[in-house]
Amino acid sequence: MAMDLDELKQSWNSQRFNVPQIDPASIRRANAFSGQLAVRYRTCALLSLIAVGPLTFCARQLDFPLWMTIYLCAFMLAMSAITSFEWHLASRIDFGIMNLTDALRSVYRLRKQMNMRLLAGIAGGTPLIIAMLIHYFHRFGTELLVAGGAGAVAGAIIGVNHALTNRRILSKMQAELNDATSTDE
Amino acid sequence: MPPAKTTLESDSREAYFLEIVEKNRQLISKVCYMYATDGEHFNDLHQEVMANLWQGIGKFRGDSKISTWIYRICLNTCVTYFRRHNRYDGLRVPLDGVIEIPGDDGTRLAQLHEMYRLISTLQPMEKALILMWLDERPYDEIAEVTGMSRNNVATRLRRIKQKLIKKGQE
Repeated sequence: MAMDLDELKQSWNSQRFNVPQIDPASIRRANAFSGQLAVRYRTCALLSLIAVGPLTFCARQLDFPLWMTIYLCAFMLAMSAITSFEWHLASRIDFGIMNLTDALRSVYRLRKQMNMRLLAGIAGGTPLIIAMLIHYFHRFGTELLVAGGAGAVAGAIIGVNHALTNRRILSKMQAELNDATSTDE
Repeated sequence: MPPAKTTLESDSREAYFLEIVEKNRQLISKVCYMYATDGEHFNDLHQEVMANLWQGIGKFRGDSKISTWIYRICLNTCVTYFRRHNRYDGLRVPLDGVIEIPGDDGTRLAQLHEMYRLISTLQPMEKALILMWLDERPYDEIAEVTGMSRNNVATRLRRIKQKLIKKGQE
């Protein structure tokens, strides 16, 4: 097709979209992704923080060694701190003020942070889970060990899948950012 | 200009929102259509844009033109959208019946569809640039919305147009 961009520009400006009118009731329910994300991070950060108390209680009830109890609490506090930082990043996203390059950069940074949290979770959580499984085995026998092991494998599959998807999106966004910020004029 | 802040916090916020959405309906649809891959994706993008506009309208102070602000929100939303669809490829399924050109016998509409198809092969940032150029936005406004320098916008646009012409001839 031979393209006459100026002719196409005329067609472009004549086009009309048949989209339904917006329902006023839906506006009040409107909740943008960045807003939802900030709420989710805030909830996760608070839950991780609040969970420290009940988890310590449970750890004592299940006769966890002291080091494991301290490790568990430290892990939950660290995850809470990391998630709070993500909350801070997500709440700073304002599409009405940011230009496209800054918006891409913010979202890229947020996704990168999410990946880092996932890695930190795996790196910090795996030894804890292994230690807990060994403890359960010695304390309660094989049945709980099998159930715990199955849970750990399922969690790992979900986590790896999530990480791979994030990684794919990140590399695309990174390429886009590099392209946008290049000044090879 | 937006209504005063005090009134924005009341029902008039909704009225003002509906007014600007209605006035800029074509613009919003164009941007969503440009980034959508199918009907469901189009609806998702449209809804997300609406949510961002609604959330941002209370903060809009009229420092820039309303259309520039809407462009900013639409493009930021569409380019960074990755919630349910990790789709960065272009339009795969044409949304028949969504677009019409008054008084057209179908020729211009076919051209338009072809152009959308070619544009769908571009990168998201390139789409943003060509979209604003097609809408006859000044380079300064394109630079403001995208965060590029004016010269960079001009250079990139020249390359994109060459790319589109080349693809169109293939």
